Amino acid sequence: MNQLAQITQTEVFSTNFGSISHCPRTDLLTLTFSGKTVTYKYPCLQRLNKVINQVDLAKMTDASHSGLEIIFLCGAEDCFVLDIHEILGLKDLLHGTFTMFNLNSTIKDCLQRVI
Amino acid sequence: MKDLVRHKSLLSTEIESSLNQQIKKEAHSSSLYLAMASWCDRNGFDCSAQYFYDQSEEERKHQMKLFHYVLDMGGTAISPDINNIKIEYMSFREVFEDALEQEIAITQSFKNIAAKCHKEQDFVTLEFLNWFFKEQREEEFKARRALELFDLIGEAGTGRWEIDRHIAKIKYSEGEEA
Ligand SMILES: [Fe+2]
Ligand SMILES: [Fe+2]
Repeated sequence: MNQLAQITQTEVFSTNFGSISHCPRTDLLTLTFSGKTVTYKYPCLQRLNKVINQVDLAKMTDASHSGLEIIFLCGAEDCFVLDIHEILGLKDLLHGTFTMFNLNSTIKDCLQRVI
Repeated sequence: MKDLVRHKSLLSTEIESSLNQQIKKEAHSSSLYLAMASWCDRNGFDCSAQYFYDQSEEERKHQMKLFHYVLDMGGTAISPDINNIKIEYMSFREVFEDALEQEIAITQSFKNIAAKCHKEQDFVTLEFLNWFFKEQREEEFKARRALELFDLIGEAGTGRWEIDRHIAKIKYSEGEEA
């Protein structure tokens, strides 16, 4: 990521595990998590959120389970290999992010689009 | 920050998923009617078979109408997977009883979606749904009328043959003067 892009990023949400920021110029979202930095379009991040929420956490704790989940997104180049703590961390991060997106949408509605 | 949620789509996640469920229900209806057409065809009720072939086509159109709406509004339309369609019916009458039951379920389902739209003030989708409410008026009328024929004509003797012939004439005129 070049300097200019970095300057223009707006942080959407962050936790101890990672962060998600938005580039107002390109509308791309940058996810920094577990040592990785990945850039997504909005619908792709939505899909990631859906996939993460569908992970069967109880099954991951089974003795027969490797304890790792491979998160692969159609249309995205990267994949994540995550353990249960990381899944929980990412879930938290995405939940916060989408709450911020929705809050932002509601605020925009109230302040700019007179109801 | 830009309003990414709203820029992406007019539909909320909840409404989008309700509409996708409805797409599946319409596809299910279409398959059901096709199975009914098959049963009627096999059992010699030619007019009823034709009636259900036509109904099946209509349901497919309903499915596609919803499908395009979801996509046009920025959502993701999901192509449904339909299985477990009944093949056999106990009687000619049972076919029509199932058809009415199916239409009632569809009407109820649309009412639930409309209630959700009201709740989140999605008047755009609500207006879109009006077309379907009008359609359900016709669908329920036709299904009820078909069953009425069983009572009016009676199934004894050549009754079922007579009923079949009258099924072809069922028409909903929306209360217009004849
Ligand atoms: Fe329908
Ligand atoms: Fe119908």
